[in-house]
Amino acid sequence: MHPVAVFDIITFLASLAALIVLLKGWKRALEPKAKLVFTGLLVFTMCYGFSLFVEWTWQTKVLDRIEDIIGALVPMWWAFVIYAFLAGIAEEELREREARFQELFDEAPVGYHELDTEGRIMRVNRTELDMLGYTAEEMLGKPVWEFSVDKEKSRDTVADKLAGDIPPGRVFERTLRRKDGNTLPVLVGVRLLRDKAGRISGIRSAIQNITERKRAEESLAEERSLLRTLIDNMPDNIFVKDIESRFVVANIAVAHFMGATTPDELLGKTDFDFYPQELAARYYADDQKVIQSGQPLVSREEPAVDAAGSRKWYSTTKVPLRDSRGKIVGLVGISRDITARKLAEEDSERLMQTLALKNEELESVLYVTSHDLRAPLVNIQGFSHELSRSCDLICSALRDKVPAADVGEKVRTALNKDVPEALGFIMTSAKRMDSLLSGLLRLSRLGQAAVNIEPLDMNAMLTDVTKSMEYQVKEAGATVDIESLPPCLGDASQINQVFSNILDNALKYLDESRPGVIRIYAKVEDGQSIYCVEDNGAGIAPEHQSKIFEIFHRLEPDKKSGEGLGLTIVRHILDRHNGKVWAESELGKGSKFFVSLPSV
Amino acid sequence: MIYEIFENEVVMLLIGVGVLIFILGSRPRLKRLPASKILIVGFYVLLVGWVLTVLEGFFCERLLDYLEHMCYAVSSVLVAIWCWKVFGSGPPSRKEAL
Repeated sequence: MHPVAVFDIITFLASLAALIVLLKGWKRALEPKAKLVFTGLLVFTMCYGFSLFVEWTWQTKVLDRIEDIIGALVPMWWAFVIYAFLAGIAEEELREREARFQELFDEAPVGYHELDTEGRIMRVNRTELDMLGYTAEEMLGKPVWEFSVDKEKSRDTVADKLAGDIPPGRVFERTLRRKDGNTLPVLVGVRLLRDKAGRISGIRSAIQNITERKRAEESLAEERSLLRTLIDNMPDNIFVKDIESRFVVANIAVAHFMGATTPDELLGKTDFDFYPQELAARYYADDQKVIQSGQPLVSREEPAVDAAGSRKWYSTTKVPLRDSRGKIVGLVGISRDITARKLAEEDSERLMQTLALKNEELESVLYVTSHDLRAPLVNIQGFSHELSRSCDLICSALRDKVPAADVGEKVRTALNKDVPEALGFIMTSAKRMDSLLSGLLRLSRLGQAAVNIEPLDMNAMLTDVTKSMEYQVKEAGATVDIESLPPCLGDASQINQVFSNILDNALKYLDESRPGVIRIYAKVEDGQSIYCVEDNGAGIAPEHQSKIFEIFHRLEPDKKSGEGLGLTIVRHILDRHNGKVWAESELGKGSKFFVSLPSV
Repeated sequence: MIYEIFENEVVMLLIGVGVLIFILGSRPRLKRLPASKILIVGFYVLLVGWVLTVLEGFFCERLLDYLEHMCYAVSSVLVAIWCWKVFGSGPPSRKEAL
């Protein structure tokens, strides 16, 4: 065999094998038309290979001619094959595109349907079927208005659309009826379909479910209504202004205050349209400050003039209003009528001034009284002594010079008993009055003394106080225990007097049946140092507890010395220090005196 | 030297070149065919065979004739391989699967 014939037989056999494989796997791939054409190519190639191979054995003209014809057909058939393959690919692409379109159509986020010229549904996507709960079979071929709540309206609209009376791009709001009977609010967008001749061949509608939007709109409307009701019924003035200080929102209170009938009358206007120029300019400046700085204006008390021309006082808060990007687009203001409070404050201030004046006058009277009354009292005391001495002299003279029989019994009684007794009463009363006047004088001087506030080391002060009273402590057989004390602010000498008086009282009223124990301790609470002087003394009866700080009040005036001024002075000093004093006591068990002073 | 040109061989070549141009123009789409490279290379080899069959009339007749037939054989084998890849193996078509 010629070596070239080997290649020809290979060509034949390979083509034959390819043909067998193709026929066996006919269904596996490619379009039927393409496969048929390709089968032809394999047949021709096989025949060409066979004819080339046979040529080596039988060289005849007929065979040569057949080989030439088949040889020429092979490239031509390749062209057919390529064309058929491309056509198959194009068809496949078209199918893919259609499938993709169908997928997009079905899975679009909005419902789609197409109507013919009679208004019947010719095509509907899965989204719309899901929206309405029908199957495609239940919808296809039926007039679209069958699925609308308002069928007449829907039919008219479809007719208008098909007549081309409705401009393209128009959107309708409709309510459809679902298969389960519920209604579904939708937005319908319409597009006319035309044939090649340009005639209207149908309608394609896009259906958007607006249930959520409707719900949100209703919710928003409800919230707006609620907010409107709320702000309109607030007694305070509530308003919103834009960056030009024009009213955007105002409540009824603002409208009435500014002399408008409804809040709408204020919209777009500024304070300059309602207030005097000077006042409006002031409000405008405040508005612009808030808008430009972004800082709120809180509880600004400012005057205002209402529509009737009455002067009022308002406490106004203005805060910047920002949009979703944080940009300031205006301000929100709340204004509260504080005229009554302002008037009350003014009254109160006036009263305080009057009170201070009266206090000054009273202190002055007290001082003058206590000071000036002492002079005649000294005279009374002095001349009482003088009179007493004179009386003694008369008595002595009478005893020595005049016989007892010559002096009448009455005179003797007067000289020896009545006059000394009367003088004794006069001198005791005068002494008592002197003591009272001294106390009053001290009290009035205390009111006039300057208070020099400084940080006080209370541990050192109480130690000094205790040391200065060491004799009384020993006399009373008591012990004084001072714990660590926090410092406070006060006048050293006056605070010293406070604790001296309290300690003196504690020692004075100890229970004689048991050893006296006085404990001094303290704590810091809410910026105040609170000191406690606790004793185990006789205690104070409940009926006296409210009176112990009153002037000249004494618990046991017959048994204990004193003027009844100690605790009054304590309270007076602490009043001048913005401090407090109070007591807790139980009769027979002891007392606790608390002193509160500003902490350091 | 006698130069011998056969019209049918020239016609085959011209048609082949026409198909080549067609293929080159549709190459992006033809790529969608399974194992398209094998089929197209098969055609290219065949085209080389057609070129050789014209050239053998001018020089190296025996060698070029030898190569020409070899090209036909190789092309047929490549087409057979393509057929095997597309129809003989691989996953069944969607219809079969169903």
